[in-house]
Amino acid sequence: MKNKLEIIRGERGINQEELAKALAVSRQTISSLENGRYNPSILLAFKIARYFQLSIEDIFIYEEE
Amino acid sequence: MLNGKVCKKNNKLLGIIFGLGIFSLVIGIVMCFTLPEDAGNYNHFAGMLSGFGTGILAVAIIKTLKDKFTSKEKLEQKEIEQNDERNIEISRMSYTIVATASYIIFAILSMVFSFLGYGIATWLCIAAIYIEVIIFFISYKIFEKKI
Repeated sequence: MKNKLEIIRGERGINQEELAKALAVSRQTISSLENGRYNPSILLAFKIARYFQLSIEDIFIYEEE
Repeated sequence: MLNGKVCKKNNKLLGIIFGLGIFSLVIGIVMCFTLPEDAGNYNHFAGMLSGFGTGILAVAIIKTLKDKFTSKEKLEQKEIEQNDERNIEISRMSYTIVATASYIIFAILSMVFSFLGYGIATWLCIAAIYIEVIIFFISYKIFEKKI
């Protein structure tokens, strides 16, 4: 699964630390999400989408393998 | 915001460790004073109990003191780290590897003990493998109903 988290975060001028704090996750989680090394749970995906006031599909792109 | 769930869980765990430590230490001391000197293995067991009790009691005390002198921000960060879903998944994956490795280790040990002619140790290793398999099936059934 790909995502546009880094782009969206950059557009909003938020750093990884601030986003991590707002979502109550570690900074490493944000970094792993942005690098595509880690796929979030549906709960975290909702949290992220809600934080940016977007839909999950606006941030995460599902790709069939 | 975090709701302190992890903190409460940690306090509960710390309470259990305290209780277990005191219980083990008291039983160990009582056994040390009441058992005759020629009680053999029982004396070793009493020593083990008091040692185990002292050890985990020391861990609980150090952890409590550490938490008391750590700043609120650091504790909150620690709570986030513990609650973090990626960290939880990493732990789960690591536990899975540990479990698989323990099957292999017990199997190898049982073969080594069998080769060396240690019958009881061989059977203990084989029993440990079976116990692990039984625990796996029981927990699988429990989680199957829960999820």
